[in-house]
Amino acid sequence: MTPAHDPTWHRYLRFWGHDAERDLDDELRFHFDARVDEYVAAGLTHEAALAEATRRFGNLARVRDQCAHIDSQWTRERTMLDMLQTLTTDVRYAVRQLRRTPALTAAAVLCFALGIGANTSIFSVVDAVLLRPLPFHEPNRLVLVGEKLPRFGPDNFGVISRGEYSDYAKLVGRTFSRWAIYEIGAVSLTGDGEPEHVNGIRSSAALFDVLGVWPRRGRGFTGSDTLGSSPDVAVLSDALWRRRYRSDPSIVGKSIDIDGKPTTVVGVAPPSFQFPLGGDLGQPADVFLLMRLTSADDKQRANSFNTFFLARLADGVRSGDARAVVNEVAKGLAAAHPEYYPKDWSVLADVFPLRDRAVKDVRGPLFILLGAVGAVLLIACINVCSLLIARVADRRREIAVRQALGASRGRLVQQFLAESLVLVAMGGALGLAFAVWGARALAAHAPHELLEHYLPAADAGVLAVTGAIVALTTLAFSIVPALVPEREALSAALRDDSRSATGGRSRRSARQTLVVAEIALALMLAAVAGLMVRSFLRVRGVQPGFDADHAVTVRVGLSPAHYPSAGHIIQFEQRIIERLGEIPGVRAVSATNDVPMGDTRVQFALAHEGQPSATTPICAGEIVYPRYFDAMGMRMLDGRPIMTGDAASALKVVVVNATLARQFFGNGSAIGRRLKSGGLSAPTPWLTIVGVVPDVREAGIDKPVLPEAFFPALQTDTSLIQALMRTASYVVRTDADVGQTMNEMRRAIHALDPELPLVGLQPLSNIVTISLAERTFNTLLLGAFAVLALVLAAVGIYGLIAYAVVQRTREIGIRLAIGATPANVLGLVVADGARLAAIGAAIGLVGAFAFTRVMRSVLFDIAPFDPIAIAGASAVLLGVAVLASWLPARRAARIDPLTAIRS
Amino acid sequence: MNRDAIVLLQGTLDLLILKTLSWGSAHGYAIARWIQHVTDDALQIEEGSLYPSLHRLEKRGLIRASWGLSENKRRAKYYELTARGRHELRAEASSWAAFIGAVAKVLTSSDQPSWAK
Repeated sequence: MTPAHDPTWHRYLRFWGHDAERDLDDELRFHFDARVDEYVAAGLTHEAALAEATRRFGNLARVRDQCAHIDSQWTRERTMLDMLQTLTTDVRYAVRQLRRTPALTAAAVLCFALGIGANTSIFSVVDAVLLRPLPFHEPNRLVLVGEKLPRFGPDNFGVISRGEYSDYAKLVGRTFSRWAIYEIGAVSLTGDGEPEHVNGIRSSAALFDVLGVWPRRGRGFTGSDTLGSSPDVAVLSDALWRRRYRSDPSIVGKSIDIDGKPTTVVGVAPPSFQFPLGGDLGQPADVFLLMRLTSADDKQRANSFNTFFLARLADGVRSGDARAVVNEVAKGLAAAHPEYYPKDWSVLADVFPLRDRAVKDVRGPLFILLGAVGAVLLIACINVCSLLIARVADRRREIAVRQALGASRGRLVQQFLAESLVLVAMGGALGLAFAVWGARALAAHAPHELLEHYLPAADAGVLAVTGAIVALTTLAFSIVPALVPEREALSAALRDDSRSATGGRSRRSARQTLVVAEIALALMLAAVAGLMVRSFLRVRGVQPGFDADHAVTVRVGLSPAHYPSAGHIIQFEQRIIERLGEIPGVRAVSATNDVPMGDTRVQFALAHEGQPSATTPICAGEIVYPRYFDAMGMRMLDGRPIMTGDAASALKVVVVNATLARQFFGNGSAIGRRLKSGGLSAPTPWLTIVGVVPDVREAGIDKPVLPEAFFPALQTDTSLIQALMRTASYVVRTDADVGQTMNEMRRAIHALDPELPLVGLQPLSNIVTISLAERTFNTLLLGAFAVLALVLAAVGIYGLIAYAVVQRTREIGIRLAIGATPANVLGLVVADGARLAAIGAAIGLVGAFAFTRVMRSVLFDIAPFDPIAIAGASAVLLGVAVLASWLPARRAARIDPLTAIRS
Repeated sequence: MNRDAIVLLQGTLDLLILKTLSWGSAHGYAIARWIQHVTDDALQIEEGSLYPSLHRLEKRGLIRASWGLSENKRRAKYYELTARGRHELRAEASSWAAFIGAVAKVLTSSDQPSWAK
């Protein structure tokens, strides 16, 4: 078997490239041919010579295999060494090259650093909020059961009515493996140190068990804790234990006063433990108390909905399966307990994975931010790429010389790869520093509880993502510039085409394509940011419905131990109002169960006389003391406010907001009409409407207004007072200085009872700011990314146009020589930039519309293709493009035609 | 195979190659020809086995290869001795000489072993 013949010129080519197999064949064939030639010269026929040579050589195939084996082993060893050596040389060379153009290098590194840094920091937040498993055992199996009442509208409450837990608990063993219920509320800590209010949670004994988390010190709850004879017990959060009890090592077993009752601390939760998860699931609790369930709880059905039912899915059960089963249970509730439910009453239920419920409000904005930083990184990459191409063009000579000296294309690509590697590595290192700082800043300012205890760790996932970004960036953006010149570098550079009138066509179009892409991305980002800013301005323009200036609010909690009955609560709160009214400069004082935009929303089903449909609408409700509307700076639209005379023995009255009046009574007057809480058939008294007030944004400035009713505290039944007014919020309207009034208020309240914890003593305007915090945060961040993208895009456009001007110096010189004015030249160059920007903008607009669906979830009162935002973004971008081409254009216009033509 | 062909040990062939290359660089065919010439074709080596040896020596860094053009303008692989190869050749040659000497002593000795007396 003789190796196949190659055309001779192929072999010459292989003086360079390296192909082990071919080389081996060549080597053996040379020997063979030489032997045959020798025998033929000695007089043998060709056949005989071949046979003799073969005999002399032995087994060709075996020899070939042996050699190949030896070679391949060796190549492996050698390649590693070689590559390392080449890489070191390449990197050294790259650093030398990069140091020659410090400005360009700095620009490229900065581009990368900004892109990578922004991405990593946002990604680490996304990772913490959306991707990282919740700090519980098998968190994906945790679900919440929520009910809805079809007759009160389509919304699921996300909670159940307390007594119904026992029916869902029967699903243990089939659908659920464990369950717990909990209710959230503030508790007051008194005794050691400053009295204070903290977030609390009351749960059934199994809560820690369901979550699969056990206290770090001490224990969780046990079944015996629930017995009536055992003392009250509590588990503290790690943060509270460190802060209030100064990490007291002997805290377990101590008795502390919670809500005025001595309670034994049985455990301290681990530092990473955070429950509830925030948002409408409740603020992370500092104190975990035990809910002792009695037979009386069983009667709490279908009236108040504020109990969370948390369950762990049994093995092999998916949330979809659980949904159907739970709904069956809900539908059967009324039939199973006819004594508790009104006739033809129906309950439906649903199952929500815990994480989905926790992140439902932040998911949209986070994904938009993630998309935005992705675009920033892409723009940064394109920029660097276009910088590199520009440099390759400048280095045509060098490349050509090296090619002529025998450098292979692969070798050149490797060289560029090394250069980008150095750039990206530097950018990546700097970017990572940005990222750590950025993520810290984000976590510190993000108005979301999920991030409260989140310290941006450069954890494996985040680092891996950054690494992947860096690797891809390097690859993509180093090979491109190396490939662009190879079509022309050798021929053109050797011909020295610096005199040719136009730069290489393909190179120019490649860079133009890049810049167009960059502009398109920047516009997309600008459009999205524009929409966010527009809707933010809209939100800012929304009137909260009350006068937030010159007013102070504070929440005061009354412990059940010292103020056991509703009578005690009402009496004492009236005293506080009286005392606050004596502060100099105060114009009006009142109290409510919660000021607008607070964290407890109370909703009532309100029917009105002559209601046509079977559905009873759900309305917001507030329990208020007299002069509440004065204190809030709300004027009456119709009728009268709630007054001191609206006492227990008087006619039951109610004041409603404009939305309720409109929805229930259309254009007719609401005054004198009657409402009934709980539906037409409910055993509650009729309430007569005596006044109408303007709409207040109860749930937050950017949330829709519900119909709302205001009930006089003095006429509200005792169980509601117990449940809602124990932690009333006071509103004080004053002509005096707000800061001074705050101090006076603290003094006045503590003069009545020094043990009372005050929560959130703040100007009323604060609550508006807080309500907008998340939107403000997201808008600022997006705006920052958009500005970053615009700046990067401007740099890209500037670089491209400036380079094009240099390339076209000669052409421009000729134009000037044959009579073009500098103004013509200026227009010519700027038009070039504007043309690119226009093409990019058109593409970008199409791209921006692709985000419409995601955007809808975060926009307020504005369409996703709001013309003003889109036009504004486009105008800004075009302006930036024109400006970026203006500078090089001016230089072009100043070209001296003679020098240009000679150059 | 000739009747009087001598089967070469692996190490011996290496030694011969190194020795051959000590005169200057050569391609495989030239090495084979030279060994053939110097030994009057007494060592009828299978020429093919020369090549694994060459590649092994190259791997060990005792010789170095480069492509060049032969006398008849063909692309051929030339081998030359490296400094390490030269060193190796000296060491091996002297131990070879010692071995040959020892064998020769045995073959030419007139002393009879004690059990043969």
